[in-house]
Amino acid sequence: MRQLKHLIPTLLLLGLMPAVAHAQLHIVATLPALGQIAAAVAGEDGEVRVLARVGQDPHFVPPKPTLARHLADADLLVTAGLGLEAGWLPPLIELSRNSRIREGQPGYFAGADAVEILGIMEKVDRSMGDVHPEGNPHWWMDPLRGAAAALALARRLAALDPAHAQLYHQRAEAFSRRLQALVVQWKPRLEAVSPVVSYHDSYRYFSERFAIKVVGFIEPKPGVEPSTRHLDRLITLIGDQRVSQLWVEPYHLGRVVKRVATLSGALLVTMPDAVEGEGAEGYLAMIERLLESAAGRQ
Amino acid sequence: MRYARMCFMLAAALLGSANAYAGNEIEEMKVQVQQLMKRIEMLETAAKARTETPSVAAAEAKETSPEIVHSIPAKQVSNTTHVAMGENSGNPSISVVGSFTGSRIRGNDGTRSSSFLPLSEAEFIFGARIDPHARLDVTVTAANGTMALEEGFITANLPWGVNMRAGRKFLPVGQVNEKHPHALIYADRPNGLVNMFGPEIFIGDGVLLDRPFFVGDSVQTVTAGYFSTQNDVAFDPTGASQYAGMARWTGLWDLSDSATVALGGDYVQGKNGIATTDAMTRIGGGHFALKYQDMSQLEFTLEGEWLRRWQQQGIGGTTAVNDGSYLLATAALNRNWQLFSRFDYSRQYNPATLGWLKESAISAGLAWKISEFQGITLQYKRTRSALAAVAGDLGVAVGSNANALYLRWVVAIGPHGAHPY
Repeated sequence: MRQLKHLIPTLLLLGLMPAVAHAQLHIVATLPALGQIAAAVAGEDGEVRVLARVGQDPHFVPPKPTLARHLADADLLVTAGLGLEAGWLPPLIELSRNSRIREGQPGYFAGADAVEILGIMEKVDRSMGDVHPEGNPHWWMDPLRGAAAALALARRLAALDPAHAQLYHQRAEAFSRRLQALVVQWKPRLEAVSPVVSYHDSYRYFSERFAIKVVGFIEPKPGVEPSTRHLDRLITLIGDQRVSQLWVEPYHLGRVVKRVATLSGALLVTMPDAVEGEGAEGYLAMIERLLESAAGRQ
Repeated sequence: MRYARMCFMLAAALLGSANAYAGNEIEEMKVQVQQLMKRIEMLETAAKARTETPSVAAAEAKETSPEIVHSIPAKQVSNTTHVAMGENSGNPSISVVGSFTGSRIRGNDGTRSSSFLPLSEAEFIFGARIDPHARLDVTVTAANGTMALEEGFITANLPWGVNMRAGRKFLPVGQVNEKHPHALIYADRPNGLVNMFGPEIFIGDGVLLDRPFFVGDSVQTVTAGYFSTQNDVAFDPTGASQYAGMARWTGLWDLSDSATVALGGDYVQGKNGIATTDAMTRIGGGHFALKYQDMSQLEFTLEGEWLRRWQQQGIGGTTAVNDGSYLLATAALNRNWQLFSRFDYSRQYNPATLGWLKESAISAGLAWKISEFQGITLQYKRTRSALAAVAGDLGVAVGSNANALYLRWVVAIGPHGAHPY
């Protein structure tokens, strides 16, 4: 009987444990940079997991069924949107059997819905390549759009977890202020940067924010391999426009870009869309890396 | 008269309240316009100062920092797009996949056949969610001048993570049968499956239930189904509809961030209508897949499948036993170019000689993915001692050898679909 006295409170405590454990929101982000923004806003009130790895092409993440295990108990899924993850995310959501994170549900957050979108096309067909008709989806490369997404994400987290609403808003505001200070600090320094050529149209938001001209692409059209004729024209263009840098995503760094850099004399610069790091520090490190590279310091 | 007076009073009251409402609204709008004018002036002053003196602008931006982010006309552009896209949002997504497959086949029995890139199959794929609980997917195929419903099923999300697929479907037996041919890297159908189910895909009309279980770092999926089939190779040779049940398990484990291993087992059982109504067909087997893909798109896969079929030829009669299998290796040189090689092995028990008739085939090929929406495959296959079903498919005599060369061009129009894993 005396043992039972201790057993009952123990069982009650064990029964309460799942509720206590669930107090922390489970957030899954599709891409590393989005995970860092989510972690910056959620802080210690949310556990963030990321599906893609740093250095992985966000268009072509292998949809390993084992990734669905992270989605199965997620309260919130953070995506880039605009069809960027269309090639790999839908089957994972389906396999997770988690109806809370389906598109249109409160547990589904697309950052693209919170920012101004560039590159929207009114008329689209596949002769234009593998384009995203709703706009260029690489918005997180612009720090101010990253800030806008963080503020919107705070509102969503506050709706899902009203008890910590104030903390989410405070963290997002602080994150936003740091990014804005970075833009103010760096914008004048990049005014004299020469035009650049990039592999894919991944840097549109970044280059427009800092008024850097991107005059050409290695890809003749999105998702289409370049022909030698296109590369010849591009090398001529690089000379004519006095292009100083050739920007390439880490996953596109290959024989073709190295050859173009050698033949044209342009500096080959790897511009990552994410770097290793936790939360706000990780995202800021990525933006700083891009800025340093664009300024020719790396 | 009294009624008319009441009507007049009511109309006057309504008009008065409407005017009062309109007056309030105008006042509210005036205040809003004034606020907006003030805000525009502030922003213009800030912008002017920023262009004139960078240091002052920086200090000001720090002070009014939240406004910079909010000043992005966030929803304006994207909402316009969403409205425009929303006009067709009730329609299903529609894709058309065309497979142009040419072949040149030479048998050692003297038979010859060839074709040069005819439109061998066109698939019209429609799919959309019906409501929050279910979706419908329909595939209509046009081949050899006729159209047929290839697949058409409802996927319903049931409680406890169970999905139900009801309707006509490629049956999930092994790991190839469920896939559409255009999604396979090779241009033909593995001989082992042709000997097991015939040249056509093993299709069932019925219900399939499946449920994934996330155990540690792995995914274990259990599937059960009950269906009718008109398969005339594994079941009723007359093509009459027969009922069967199936069970399946697949497990997939992460070996590393870049590598996975999958294992699975299948069992199918049903009446085959041969000789007596109680004769049964049973099919059992297993499959595996080892995949490696690093971040530079270098990819290597090794997969295999083995199935055995026991087909009773009547109660008290003999049981025909067939094995069908394949082993496939692929290597992606980059995102656009892939090499592959496949070994097919089948055997059939011969009750007359109490021995096994054996067939083997070796294939090699190159696949070029021109873009996300088209690809070309060139494949060579050498078949030795063709069994009946494969011989019929190749158009050569049973037991003969054959060389086949395939050239397939697959194109797709429509929305961007998900990549298979």
